[in-house]
Amino acid sequence: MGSSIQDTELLLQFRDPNTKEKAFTAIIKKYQEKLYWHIRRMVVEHEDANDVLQNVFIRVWNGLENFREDSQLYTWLYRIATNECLSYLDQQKRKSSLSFDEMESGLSNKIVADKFFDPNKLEWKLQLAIQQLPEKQRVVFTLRYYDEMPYEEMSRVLDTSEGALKASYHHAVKKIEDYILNR
Amino acid sequence: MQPKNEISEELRSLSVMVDEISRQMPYGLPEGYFDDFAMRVVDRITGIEGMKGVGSPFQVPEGYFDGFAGGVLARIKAGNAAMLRSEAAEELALLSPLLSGMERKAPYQAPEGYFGELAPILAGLQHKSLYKVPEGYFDGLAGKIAARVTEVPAIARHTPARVVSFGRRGWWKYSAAAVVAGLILTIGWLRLHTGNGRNAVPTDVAHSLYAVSDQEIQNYLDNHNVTPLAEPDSIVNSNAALNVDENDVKSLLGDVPDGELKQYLEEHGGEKDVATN
Repeated sequence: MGSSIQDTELLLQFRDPNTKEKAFTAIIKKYQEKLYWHIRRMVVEHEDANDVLQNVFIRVWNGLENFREDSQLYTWLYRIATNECLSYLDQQKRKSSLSFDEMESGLSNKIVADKFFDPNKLEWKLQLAIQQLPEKQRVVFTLRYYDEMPYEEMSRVLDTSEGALKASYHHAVKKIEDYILNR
Repeated sequence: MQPKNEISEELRSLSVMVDEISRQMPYGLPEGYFDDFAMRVVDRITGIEGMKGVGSPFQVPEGYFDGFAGGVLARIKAGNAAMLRSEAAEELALLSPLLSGMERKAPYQAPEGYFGELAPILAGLQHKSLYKVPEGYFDGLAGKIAARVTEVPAIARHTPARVVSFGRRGWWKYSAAAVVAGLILTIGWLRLHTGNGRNAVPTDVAHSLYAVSDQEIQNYLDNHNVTPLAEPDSIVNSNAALNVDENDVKSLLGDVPDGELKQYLEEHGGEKDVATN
């Protein structure tokens, strides 16, 4: 991401009580959009994405003091955001006692219900296709396709081997292609 | 971040069609959403921090949680043994092993029927025993007691003499007094009604009377209103009979059986009529 020096500086400021809030505000502003879209692709609706994003930053606030700088800050932030997304989706499933398939169709229904939804545009078809993927493949695909994350970093975010991530990404692309072509 | 062309090449190798789809997200979001997002998050966090400062309205004793885990573990380890002993008993055992070892039976006794008058409920409960006895306990109880009773004399021979406290005075005290009184009365009665005492005038008195002048004796008799006796023999014989009237005889001989009195009259026949009860 090319901002590791700045992140180091922000972390130093965060550890100083006098500049803690200012540094944290800077971190939010720096990563809010990237994390928001990462979350939004997973949970689809803005309100849900907003809740999850705020929870992510609250967790960051509580854990940043103990953050070990053996990984990059943005990798750590993505890891928190991804876990928070998966937890949120899991909660939703348990609340509504829906099966995995029903949950996927529920997310697809949300896409279709979006006021900007246009079934003739590929971008919208792609979103519907992404929601057909299993959760893990969905995360891998969006991180690679939209965030252009290297497998090495993705491996740290998802705690999965690079080989497994490559295989997962390839499977996801083929499934998406098949969905777009055949639906 | 990996160069875009590398990722694009990889994707193109997998699917040209997907690679050509715009990466622009079709979703919309509220206008100016990100403008104040950071401020909203910080406000929320500082709100939570403020709440942390307020804390819970409830208080726990200082250091309550310090030994809590240890206390729970100790209680679990102690198991059933600890459950059987009350906290009060444990406390007393720590304070005084002597008191803890003593039987907690009150030495006091309530008057019979006290609880019946005090509380009818207690009286009712008095006959309801919660305790149980071993099955068939009462069947052989009488035999066991009888066997022990027959053993008592043998045991008594080997038992040291009982020490009776000075503080415990019972019926025997009055019995002993009655026996002594009875003996005195019997001896007195026998002395009155038998001839054994007639010649029992102490010789030293007789001798000392010789030393007393007649004038002194006459003065004594005058001063003490003593009736002069006619004959010397009657003085000795009349010492009780003459002064005992019929009522006195009844009271003295009231408990003497008739058979004994008849025997007495036969032995001393015709001397004098004796009134009997």
